[in-house]
Amino acid sequence: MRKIHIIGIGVLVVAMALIFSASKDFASYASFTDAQTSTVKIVGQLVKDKEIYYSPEENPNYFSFFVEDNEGQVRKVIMHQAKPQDFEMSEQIVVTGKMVENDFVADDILLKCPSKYKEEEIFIRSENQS
Amino acid sequence: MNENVEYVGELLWPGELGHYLLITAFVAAIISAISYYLSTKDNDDALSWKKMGRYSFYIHGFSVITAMVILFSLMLGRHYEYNYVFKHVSDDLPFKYMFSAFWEDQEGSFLLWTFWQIIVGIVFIKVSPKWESSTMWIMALIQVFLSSMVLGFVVGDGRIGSTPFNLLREENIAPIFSNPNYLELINGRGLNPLLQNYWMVIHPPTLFLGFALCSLPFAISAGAILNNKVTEWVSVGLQWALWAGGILGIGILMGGAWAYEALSFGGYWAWDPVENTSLVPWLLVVAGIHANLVSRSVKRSYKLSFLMYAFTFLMVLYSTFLTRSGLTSESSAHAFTSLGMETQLLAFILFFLLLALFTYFSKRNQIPSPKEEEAFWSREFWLYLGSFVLILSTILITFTTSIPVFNKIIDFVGSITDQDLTDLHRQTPLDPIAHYNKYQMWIAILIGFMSGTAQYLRYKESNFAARWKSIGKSLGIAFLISIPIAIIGIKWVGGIGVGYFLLIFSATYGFFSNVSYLFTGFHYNAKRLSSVLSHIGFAIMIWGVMASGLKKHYISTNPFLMRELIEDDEMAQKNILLFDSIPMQMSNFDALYFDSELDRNERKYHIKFVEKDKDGNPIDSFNLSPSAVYDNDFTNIVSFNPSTDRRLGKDIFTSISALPGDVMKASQAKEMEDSLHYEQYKIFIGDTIFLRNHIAILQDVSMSNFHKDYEADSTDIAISAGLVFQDPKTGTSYSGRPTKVIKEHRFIADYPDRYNPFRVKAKLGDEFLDILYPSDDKLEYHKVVLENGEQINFAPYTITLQQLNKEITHPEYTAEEGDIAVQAELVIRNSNGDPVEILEPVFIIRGNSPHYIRDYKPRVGLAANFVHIDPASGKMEFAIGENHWAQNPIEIRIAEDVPRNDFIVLEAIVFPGINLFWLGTILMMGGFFASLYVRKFKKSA
Repeated sequence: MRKIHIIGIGVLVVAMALIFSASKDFASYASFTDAQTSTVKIVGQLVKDKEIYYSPEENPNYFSFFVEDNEGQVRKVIMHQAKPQDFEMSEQIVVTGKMVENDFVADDILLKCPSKYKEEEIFIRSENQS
Repeated sequence: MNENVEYVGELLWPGELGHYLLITAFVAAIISAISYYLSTKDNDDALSWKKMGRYSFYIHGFSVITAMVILFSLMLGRHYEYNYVFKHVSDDLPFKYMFSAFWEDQEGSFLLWTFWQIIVGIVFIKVSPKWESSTMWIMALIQVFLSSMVLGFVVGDGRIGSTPFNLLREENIAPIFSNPNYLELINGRGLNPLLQNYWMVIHPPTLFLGFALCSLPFAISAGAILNNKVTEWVSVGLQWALWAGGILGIGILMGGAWAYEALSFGGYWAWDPVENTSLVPWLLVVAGIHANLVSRSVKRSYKLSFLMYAFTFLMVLYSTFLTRSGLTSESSAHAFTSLGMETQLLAFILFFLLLALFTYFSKRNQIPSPKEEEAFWSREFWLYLGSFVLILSTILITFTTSIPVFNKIIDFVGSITDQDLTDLHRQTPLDPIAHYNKYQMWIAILIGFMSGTAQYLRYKESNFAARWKSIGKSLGIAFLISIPIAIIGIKWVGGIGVGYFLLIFSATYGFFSNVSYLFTGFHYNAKRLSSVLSHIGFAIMIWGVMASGLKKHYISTNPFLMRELIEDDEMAQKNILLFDSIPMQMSNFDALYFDSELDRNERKYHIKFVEKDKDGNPIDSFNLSPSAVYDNDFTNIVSFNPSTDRRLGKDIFTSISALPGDVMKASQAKEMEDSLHYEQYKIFIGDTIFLRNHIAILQDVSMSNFHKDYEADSTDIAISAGLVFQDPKTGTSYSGRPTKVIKEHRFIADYPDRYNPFRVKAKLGDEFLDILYPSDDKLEYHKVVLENGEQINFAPYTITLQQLNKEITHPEYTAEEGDIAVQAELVIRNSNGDPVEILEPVFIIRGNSPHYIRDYKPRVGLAANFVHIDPASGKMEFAIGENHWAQNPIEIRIAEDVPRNDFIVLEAIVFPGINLFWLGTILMMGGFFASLYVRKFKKSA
């Protein structure tokens, strides 16, 4: 076997090893129960009938809302940052953080919105119609 | 349901023509591919087949380009009967964004890509005629697939391609299409405001030119190998691969520059799937170039070069598949929505994958590959190593980017084996930047070390010990110099850990070893310049990445102000609140938000920054204007555009992260308004209202001065009150003009006036409508009898019956059959005899009974009714009504403790050393073109 082949195979082995070692980056998500003990990523739904609080006049770096995780638990999530745009439209929310007493304090958030380019209705100039 | 409707104003022939042109293009591409292919077969008619192929290709090109011109003209002409035009253009879209609108969606961007393939093909025919036949049949095949994407043929349940010439009413079902005049009622939806940016004008064409060029090295090498010229293609292949690498690289960089300059995430690279899948072909073409250098110099690694070029092209197709199938829409900010052409795209990839594999396996044994091994310290071996490192990088990037594809495959397997395999699904990393950087960092370290060392090695090295004597010193010095500099560098950027140190060290070593290579040896060698340029560029780029990435810090913090609010000290405090005209301290800057202005659909917030030294003395000041972008109907803010102060050493990047809710969304503004409690005050002009903390004085009522936001339409009648708010403690005051408007004689619009520092908001009560349009019981009527031309006194005015008109212009009059109507023209003059107003009441005989239409003019407070015509005497009787509104108190409504809406929440980041990144990347791309120039020069010399 030639050196070059050995190196070629080596590259593939290294690639597989690295991908395997990164597997926790691709892992599914945790729940609020797991968050009692360590920092985790939680995927859940925004609870739309509970308060979404962001009042930049009071504090531009305080933002809270409620999330229901995959096990059905609902917890208040607190973030020290501005409210992301289109937050209310998100279908799925991924928050990274841990439980502090009864609240989940998150330092990172990711929103999954239905689509950037929403289908809009055909715009009609209603004034002209009448 | 619409089949019987005769539509008005549609322009249909260009669409049909365009559609037929695209079909012609498709057919011509097939003919061209077949003809070119036959011309590679050694037969007597090769030349005529070749001509046939070439002319078919030209016809193909002409058809596509004409179709594009037609589509573009339809867009310029705002022909909304076409779906594509409706979806991407609007009446107010400026010309400069017309191009962006053209390639905003799948069809247009496929056309753009096809266009570049045509241009690249034609240039290739002219520049490298020797390789025309063997290459162009593959290029023409690519055109067959590309032009099928815009065919729009319906086949059974599915369709092949999606044509941009479909009509709006074919694509949508809506009641409006029962109206033959629907075109007069619609306006296009317009370009997505996020894409209204000049980068959108230049980035996609450059990227697609790069993509088109990426197909050439593959077409050249595959065509040549299949034509049994298994080795001769290396020079021409290299030439075009260099073009591909240079142009595609620039296209990718433009995307980075766009992201940095116009998107608010604060960075030039986010490892977004779309970015990744354009980076991968670039890495592969660079790997191919390295392998190709070996094959040109020492006649080996032909297979590797070919495979790299094949994968470059296949990854371009895969990139297209990922971004256009909708698969990555979850994880990417700029993927297209699916058009249901996944199968077609897959067929595209599979066809060329099979072609590449067929080429390789059918000719594998004819491609020379020397038996003897390359020496470890030979240049060719290190070039291999370089290629492999790049391949490793592409494998890692592609794997993670493809996770949505793996999930789809798992679903597919699940569906045929009838199992639920969704547990096997994996997520794309939540923090992609950290994920990709973790591994790509080591790739960069390897590249840094190898790029310098390999330069000094010779091809076919047989005596490295001797060679080492002459190069060892240079390499050793470069290595030693790099140690202290890397230590200083790591202190500067503040990276912690072996990885970061190795990264900055290898970049530094790469820099110095490449620089010294340029000056070693006995004779100046221009050929060296190009590779040195690229490798130095890479080293500088890594420095820039580290400096801007690790040293990036938020300056939008105010530790004094925020102390009580912080619950967790470790939490990054990234945003600061700026009120209009109130200076605020943040880090070592003073920030003052002093003005905002609307520029098309973008509101710019002007902020003045003063940078201070440790003692608080100002050392620098500058203005920045981050902005908020409205959607096309101005109801919501959809994005924020950053504004950056660019300097040599560092950039100061600012972006708005939030605005008051009622500014962001029209619906919230309404909610806010509904939640306010307005107190009602019935007062006379000149009266003072005592509020809790302030006083308000009603100074006047005006029909000529209005609220600053109000823009008058010709049919409006409007009234405003001059209201002065005062703070008795400080003596400061504010003059507002709450305004009420009756629009088009039907709608009432309020323009409340607010003064944020006092937190007050005022609007006008309903009594103001009685001034603008009083009911009859509010008027005191007098009977007035006039002859034509007669004038009477009506203190303080005079009234003249100027004439009678048969033509009725009164806005409340709608003609009915059999009407006999006449409109009087009563001129009102003031005491100086100047005409101030004209009253035009209407008298109608409809169905044997008289009708009257009143005319009222608020400015003079007079109404006129035309009540009787005496045919015998020619006298007309009018009822003139006086409005005595000023004798009664009028109602002003004032809300207090109104939440302020004159603030912005700002994020400000310092990026040190980011110019090193741009400098490095520009040098890197410069290397490709330097190489092309040097080669051209050598050839002609």
